[in-house]
Amino acid sequence: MNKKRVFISTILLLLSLIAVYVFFLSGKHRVIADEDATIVLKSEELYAPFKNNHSTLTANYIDQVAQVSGLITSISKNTIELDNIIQVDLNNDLKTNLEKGKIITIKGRCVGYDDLFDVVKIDQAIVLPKE
Amino acid sequence: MIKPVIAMLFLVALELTSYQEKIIARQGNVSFFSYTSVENIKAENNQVLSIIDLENSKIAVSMLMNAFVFEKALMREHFNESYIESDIYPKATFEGEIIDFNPLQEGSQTKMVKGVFTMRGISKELEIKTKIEKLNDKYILSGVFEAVVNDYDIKIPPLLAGNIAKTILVNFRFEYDPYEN
Repeated sequence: MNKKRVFISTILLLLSLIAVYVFFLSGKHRVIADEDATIVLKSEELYAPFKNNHSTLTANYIDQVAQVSGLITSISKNTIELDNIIQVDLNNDLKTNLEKGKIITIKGRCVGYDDLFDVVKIDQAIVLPKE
Repeated sequence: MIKPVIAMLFLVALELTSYQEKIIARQGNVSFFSYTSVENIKAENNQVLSIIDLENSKIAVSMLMNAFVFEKALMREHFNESYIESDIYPKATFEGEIIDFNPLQEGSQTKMVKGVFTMRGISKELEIKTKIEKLNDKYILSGVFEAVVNDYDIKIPPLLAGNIAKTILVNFRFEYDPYEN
């Protein structure tokens, strides 16, 4: 009887340790492409609050999944720029149908504003199909 | 006799002015490692911005702390929320100068880059040995330096003190293209 109790409590302890490990120590990464966008904006609407230092607004944008549309102004490797103010790092390699002058909509994680190049950055992005 | 000399001087002058004045890197790579007996932590940022003015050898680097990718999601959370406090200090920057830099030299040269690194609002003078490779109009800068955790007033709870190294090894590699505007 006593042995059984020790056995069961040992198992329970082990299980809870594993649960703690899985829950706290490994922690799954987000998959941005699978999440729904929480903010849907035009490039200028995303850029303006960062540029004007609206910290109460921008605090709600950082780390959020943003859906942004704009005109492609530059392309290099898997980075594209929208309207010269949003820098988008795409998840995958460039699709061939992307070119300068096209208007596209992307979905990705809003990283923040970088004043060196004066851009708002979005990473882990995908290009959304035209509606 | 004079004419060819003038022609040559003209060509040399053309050659000298033919390089772009500014070069930029949009997808610079900065990674850091913390080695301890408890665990090894590695993080990587592939979106670091940098610009070099070839006329005066000035270099600027800017990285968003939020863009570092860790092996475990929880490490990233600790890094951003507790250690770096990226909501208050979203960026780390470096501003400096490449000493004795010759932007026209093809191939590889190793130079010291001297400047100020700022993280969490704290600025430190750094001197970093940097390898510079040039191929036509592309430049690659790479190197390694160490950052002392204590220098930047990063508070690590005693319980986790053993998990994080006192000195963090930082690797960087930037590929620059001519800046077109």
